[in-house]
This record gives sequence, C-alpha cells and structure tokens, in this order.
Amino acid sequence: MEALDALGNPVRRDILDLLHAQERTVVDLAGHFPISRPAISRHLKLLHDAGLVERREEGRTNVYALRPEGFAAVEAYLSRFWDEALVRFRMVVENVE
Amino acid sequence: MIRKEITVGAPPDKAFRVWHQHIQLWWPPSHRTSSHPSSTLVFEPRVDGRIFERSADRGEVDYGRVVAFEAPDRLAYTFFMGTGRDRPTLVEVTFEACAGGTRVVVQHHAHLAADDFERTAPRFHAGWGLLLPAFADHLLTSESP
Repeated sequence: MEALDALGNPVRRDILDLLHAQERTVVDLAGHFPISRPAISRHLKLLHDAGLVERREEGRTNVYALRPEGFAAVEAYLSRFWDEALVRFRMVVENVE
Repeated sequence: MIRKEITVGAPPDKAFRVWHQHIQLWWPPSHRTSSHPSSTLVFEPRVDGRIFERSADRGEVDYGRVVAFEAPDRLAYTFFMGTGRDRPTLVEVTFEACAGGTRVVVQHHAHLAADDFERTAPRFHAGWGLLLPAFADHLLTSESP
C-alpha cells in the first residue's frame, strides 16, 4: 500500500499522531480507540506495509514507532497540494477586482 | 521545507490583497476540515489576526495566526492544524514585481525554528497528512480496509 493511501483513513492518521509522541505497543494504542485490538493490528499492518511505521519485538509484544523516511511520499503529495492551491490562486487573482 | 512559486498577471498589491481577502475563493474546497457548503475561510488582515474556517457543521476551526503582515511584499502565518498549537508550522508568502506581474513564493517551514527540521520532519509530515484528510480521502478510489 502506498503511504498516501495509508493516510486516507482517520484511525490510521490518529495512530500516526499517537506514535509521534512516543513508540507504543498494540495494547497501548488499542486503548485509545473504540475498536477491537485485532482491528488496530490490521491498521498497523497496513501502516507497516506502507513504510510509515516500524516494529520491533519486545518480549511477547510488538512495539511500533514512526518511520520518518516513509514520509517522503507525503512530502511529494503536499508539494502537489501547493501546486493546486497556487494555480487556483492565479486564476482568482487574475479574475477578481 | 516546501518551496513553491508561481507568476500571476497582477501587480503585487493586488496579489497580496487577494491572498488574504479571497482565501475563500482559492483555497481548494477538498482541503478543508468541513465538506459542508457553508465552509468559509477567513483571514483577518493584521498581525495576530486569526485564520480560521467557519462552517455550519464544525463551527469555527482555527488554522493559524498571522505573524507578519507587510503589504504588499510579505505575509507569514503559523499553522496549527495537524501539529497543534504547541508545535505550529510556518507558512511564508512573498510577492515580488516581475515582468509578467508578480512572482509569488510560498515557503512552508516544518517548524518556527527551521534549523531543527530533521528532528521535526516526521511530525510535520504526519501533521500534513492530518491536515489534509479530505484531500487524501478524495484521492482514494476506494476506502482502504
């Protein structure tokens, strides 16, 4: 899954926000959402497959952390956002009084 | 940092004015917190002015705060969304007269202290992902499982 597709879901965006503060276990993350732990694990797998998070084993649990280099794709995407906004800006500025 | 520029066929004072006065017109509708038709962006034209979205379904949502208002040359404002008020990003826009009209340059800094970009980049990127959920959703052909 592409990084941007992975971001197209509110639970996964919230997971990333939580992981920014610190690395967390699945159990910890699941405590922040009204959905099941398996559902959280599924979101984490998608984030992992997209290269946005990394995981390591600690005892019998997995610990998840942000993977900064995975966000290069997001930067490209943001770059396109500004491209779109500026083209719209030019259209407006050349057509309003 | 993201840097973009475009040349528009209007003098700098007009470009500067349209940037804040008509932000409602040029800010892409797909990049807002509300998709309700009442969604309106407001840019208060002064230092410390608020930049916010007002809509029937979400009320008022702060986007940022003006830190420089230097007509017709330069605008700068903090951006809260995604990163939160405690860790704003900074948008800086300059307007410079050129042959075709005005060269508009946007620089979006990861953090007010741009020198620690490497450290804050992950949050910046994640924040942008959070800032643009409507756009991200819009781009998806189908919701991911």
